[in-house]
Amino acid sequence: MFAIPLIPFALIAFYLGGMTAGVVMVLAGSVISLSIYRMSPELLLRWYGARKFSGEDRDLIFSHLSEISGKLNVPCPVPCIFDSAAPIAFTVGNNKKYYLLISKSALDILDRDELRSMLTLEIAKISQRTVAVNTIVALFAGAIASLSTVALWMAMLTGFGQEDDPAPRFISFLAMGMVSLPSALLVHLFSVDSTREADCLAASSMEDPGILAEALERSGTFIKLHVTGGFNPGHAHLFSVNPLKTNTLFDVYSSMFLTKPAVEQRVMYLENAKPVSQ
Amino acid sequence: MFSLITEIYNALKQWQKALLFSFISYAMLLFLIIVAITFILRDFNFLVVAGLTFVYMAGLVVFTLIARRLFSKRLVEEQD
Repeated sequence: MFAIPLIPFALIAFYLGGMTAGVVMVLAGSVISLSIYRMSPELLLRWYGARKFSGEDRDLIFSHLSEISGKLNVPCPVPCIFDSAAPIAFTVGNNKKYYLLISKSALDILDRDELRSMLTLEIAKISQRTVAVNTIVALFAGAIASLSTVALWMAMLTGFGQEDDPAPRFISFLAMGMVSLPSALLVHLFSVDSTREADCLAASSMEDPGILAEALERSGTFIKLHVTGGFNPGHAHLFSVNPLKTNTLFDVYSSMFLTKPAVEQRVMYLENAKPVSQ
Repeated sequence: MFSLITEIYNALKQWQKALLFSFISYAMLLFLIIVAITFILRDFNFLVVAGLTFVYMAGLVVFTLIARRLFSKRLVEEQD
């Protein structure tokens, strides 16, 4: 799928340099595409400054991950932690190795059972086989969307003012207007949303299916009340709960990246599905 | 007139507002391109600018319409 953008480059190379140039372009492009596909999880881990677990939560998380991944017959992901004010988790991987990233805030806010339900949800996503494609889409869409931050910094470094001054914010707003459209289109065209299936699978894999609904509700409410942005919209489809908000005019572009049902809808669906799964 | 514009703007959904601002952002980029071309040519060449504007705006309108159609089908709208 990601070799499709290579076709025009290969045709141009073939037109300009003949058969050899075309073949070289196809080979070079294939190697680059494959490398990006292989490296995309590690690049996203670096993006979020994720690190391996240590401390008392480690044993709990490891034991639960190995138990539930064995139950759902998927490879056990490597748990990592990253700094974020939002209680969220997400999984990246490329069909061979998976990494489950949990925010520090999730460990602080969610109780033990709720945390287990969030981990189960992430394992359920792995079993839906949508993680690899969503990872690479997040890498590209996130890279495009982050160009607006580059524009903001360039505006600040060229003397337009500080971060909260009107001129750099206006330049960033315009830049976001230009980059968010292709980024959002990339997300909508290529990402695979399996939220509802993963929710149902995770709820049915747990002893008490209602815990997942509670965890989602708590995370959603906390994000709504306490988290003030700072997320790359190109990554929103990866997260367990959507952290994007559109409270101000400057956040309006986030509305183009909503691929998941609202938390209230998910909770309602899980509560209605409870008697069926029991 | 102004109240009508405000009314229309307020009636738009969030993603439609985002699409509108994206359209304006790309149109402003066209203005910068025209300024750059005028500086490079050291003259305002109406034919070049009109041709460029026609091609650019036609492409932009088509792109925006495709995006609008895709968003109206696939976007999950925010709950107020």
